[in-house]
Amino acid sequence: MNGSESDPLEPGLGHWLRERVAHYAQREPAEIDPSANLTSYGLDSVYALSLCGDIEDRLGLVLEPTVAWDHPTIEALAAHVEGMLTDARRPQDAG
Amino acid sequence: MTSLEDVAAYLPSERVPVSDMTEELGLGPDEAKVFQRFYGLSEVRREPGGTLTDLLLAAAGKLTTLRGREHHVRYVVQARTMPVVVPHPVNPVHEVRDALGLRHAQAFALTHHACASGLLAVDLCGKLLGADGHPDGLALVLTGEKTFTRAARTVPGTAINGEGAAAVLVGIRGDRDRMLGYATRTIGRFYECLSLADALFTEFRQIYADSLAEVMLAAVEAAGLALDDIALVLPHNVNRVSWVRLAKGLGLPLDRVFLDNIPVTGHCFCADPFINYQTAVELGRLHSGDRYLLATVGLGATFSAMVFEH
Amino acid sequence: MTATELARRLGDPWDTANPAGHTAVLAADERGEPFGAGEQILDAIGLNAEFVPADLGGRLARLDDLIRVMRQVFRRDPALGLGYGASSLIAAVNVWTAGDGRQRRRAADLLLGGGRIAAGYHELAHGNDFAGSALSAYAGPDGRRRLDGRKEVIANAARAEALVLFARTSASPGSRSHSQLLVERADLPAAGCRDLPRFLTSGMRGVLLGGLAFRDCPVPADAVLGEPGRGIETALRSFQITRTALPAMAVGVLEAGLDATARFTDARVLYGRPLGDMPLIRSVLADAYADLLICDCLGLVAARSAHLVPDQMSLYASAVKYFVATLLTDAMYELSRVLGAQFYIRDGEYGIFQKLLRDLPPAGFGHAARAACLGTVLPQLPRLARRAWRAGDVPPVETYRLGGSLPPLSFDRLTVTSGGRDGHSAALTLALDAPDVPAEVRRLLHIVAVEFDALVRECAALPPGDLSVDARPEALDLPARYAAVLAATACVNVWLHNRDRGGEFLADPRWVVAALRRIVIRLRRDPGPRSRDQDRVLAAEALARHHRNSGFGLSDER
Repeated sequence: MNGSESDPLEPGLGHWLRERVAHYAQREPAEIDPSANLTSYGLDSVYALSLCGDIEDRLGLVLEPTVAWDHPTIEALAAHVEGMLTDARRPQDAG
Repeated sequence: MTSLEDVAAYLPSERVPVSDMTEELGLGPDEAKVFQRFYGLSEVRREPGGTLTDLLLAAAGKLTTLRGREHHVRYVVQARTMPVVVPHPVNPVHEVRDALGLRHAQAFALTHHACASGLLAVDLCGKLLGADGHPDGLALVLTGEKTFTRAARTVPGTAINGEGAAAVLVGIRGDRDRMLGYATRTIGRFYECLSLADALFTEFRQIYADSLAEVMLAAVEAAGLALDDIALVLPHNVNRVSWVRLAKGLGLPLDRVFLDNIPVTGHCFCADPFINYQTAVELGRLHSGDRYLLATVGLGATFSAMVFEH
Repeated sequence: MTATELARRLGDPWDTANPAGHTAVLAADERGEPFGAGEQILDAIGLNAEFVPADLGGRLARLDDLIRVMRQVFRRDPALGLGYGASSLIAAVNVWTAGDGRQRRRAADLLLGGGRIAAGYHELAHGNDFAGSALSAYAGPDGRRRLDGRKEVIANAARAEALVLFARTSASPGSRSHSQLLVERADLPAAGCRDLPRFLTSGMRGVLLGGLAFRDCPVPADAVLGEPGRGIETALRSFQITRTALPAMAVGVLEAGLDATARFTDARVLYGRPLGDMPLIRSVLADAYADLLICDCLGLVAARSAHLVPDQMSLYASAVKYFVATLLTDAMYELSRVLGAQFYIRDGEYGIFQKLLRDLPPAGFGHAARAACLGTVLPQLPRLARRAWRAGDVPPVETYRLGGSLPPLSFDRLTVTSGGRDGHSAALTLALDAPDVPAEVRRLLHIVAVEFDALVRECAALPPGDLSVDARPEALDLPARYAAVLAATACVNVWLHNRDRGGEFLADPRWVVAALRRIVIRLRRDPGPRSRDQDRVLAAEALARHHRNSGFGLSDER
């Protein structure tokens, strides 16, 4: 079991998140800095909750709804979710 | 052991959207939308120029495994909902039998379980073949009806009926789709079907879900199984909501109830579970070794369920 | 303490000699004072114990029981309900949700000893935008946090023994920068904490609304409730309880209004017959009564949901707050038309009505404005439209069985969003198929279902700009319509699941027809011609309840 970069199931989570953030911020993805706080694009607590729902629906995961409050940049959020995916898959892989 | 040797289904090509049927069915605009959006009924099939014989033959003609085995067929049984389906002396079951080159077979119709007569016919044919002592013997069960009259086009407030047929080749060799259990229960006080007094019709609706659940569990038990062992339920296509309710009552995950055909076919009388079987096989929803359950209700009122192993 | 016992102690409201009757309530209101005789009764029965969870020695086990008791208080005097009771509850739910063992114990002891806890959230400059709260509690040079800023329009600010203060505890942007602090007044140095003058009001004149100004005011080290920074989350979770319970308690105000109007229509003779015999008057009474029943259904179903489907309360609590507050206010206004000049006369037999009419809007606005509630639901709707509303995952039937047993209330199972789940809407779909539904109920349900279907489509297509405070007014109409659909679901399911066990009136489908008609009108659809028979039944029931001095809800118990 390697790190999540080689995860075949979820290529480019960060890329996808950037598109979602751009969608909510009503900007172009290229304008979104993955290391910037989501609030700097006017995305308040409400958008952070919606973003969490998007991730759950896309990956079939259950997350704390406040996950994007605790990981308020695209980079942090992607790293956290990828970590969760890794943990979730480990038991099957071990078996 | 009773088994399904082959199943073929036929749906006429003319699609009639529910939105075009509001006047003939006496549906208000809101009710029509509820039928579409919540009951999952969007259209039915019809073949206005075709006869019942055409409809049944179209299905039976697709039974490829019948070719070359015609001489093994001992019974041709039409399982139907409506006691009278054609004017005398027209006899569709004889016409179909003859057209298929099965003149040697005994032909008759079964109606008294109404829309549940299809399962009754399968069970009966298995028993007859078993009693005959011919292991290669076959029986042909024909299901599906025409919707000429308004009374034949709807079960008010519940279902919209369409034309569609299924032909089932029943054998007893048991090398595929073996029947593991069958349960049926007729509650005779509802014998007046759609002419029931309001209070009695309400009572029928009240006991409907529990009674159907009861025979489903009885069939599963007769098969020596538990509900959890059932991979797929192939229901009659009355409407989506009633199956949501039933599945919840049984604790059965909804994704194990095959509801894909409700918007496509509506309710095709005795043919529903067999049409659903055919579609489920086509879609790869049944795998070898899967146990599945056919469930259906006939007005009158008969509740029936049958368990098979694929 | 049962609601019945409390109603008995409060006595006959119409008895002018009753120290806790309407006459005395009005006199206190005229003086702008808390209603003393009422407070004494509530002290004597230890009402505060209703707000304290049973595991801490109180009587709070079931939200529906709490509502039933508090409804008696609101029915007698809304200012007593808010000023004596609900304001401490609003503060306390934060402690029950986020406090540690010591903080919970302390708050419980305070309340059980007859003390008050004020809810220090509001700042006039920030309104309902509590994330914008400017009161700060940053760590000072000695490591202790220090309060700087103000809290305004706070019930019992000056006389409460303790306060729950919502304060900024970090300067970072985002949603992890606020916390609640539980502080006792005795621990705050007078030099750092100053009472603001009382705010004078037109309604709820008996509530002592004050404020506090803090300046470099140190607080004890263990004041923060829970982990610092979790304040917004704690508020969003714990207020699901109070947003559900307060409007349901305020149904008592409409009960009192209906009681007064029924009395008036019975006594007043016009054109040689009682006013209540005129079809127009009967229709107004019947409509107000139907609205009351809708509020009762929605409030009680939401209260029971808090026990049974706590994960979905972020939707239901806000929908209840919005819809019930709207219906109560509108129904009282409609009733005022029946009373003629009596609706604004401040003394005499019907003087209580104008007080109720003034008290209700603050009850509807206070704690969270209706628009803010819609704003909480709106961003969740697109996801529900995409997945939940067709899933068929309905809540357990116990949710709709009034008075039926309930699992314990767990504050820790409340979450800031419903995670894309919404069982009650699926229950509407199932009700469509319920056997034994009269044609008229079915027809009205079909209208609700069609409107719900349209709502699903519109929500699925909602653009991202509509999810925030910048939402178009049309977008905020979506959660309003959603709340109406939830109300219809609650009504029809309450009828379906109680008709064999809730008595003759509850079993009669005419009330649910009346309720659905009112909701269909809220959905801006025509419910069809109204039935005089139905008006007669509902108006007669209202009058009978008045004569029996009983409750006006689904059950006539008090």
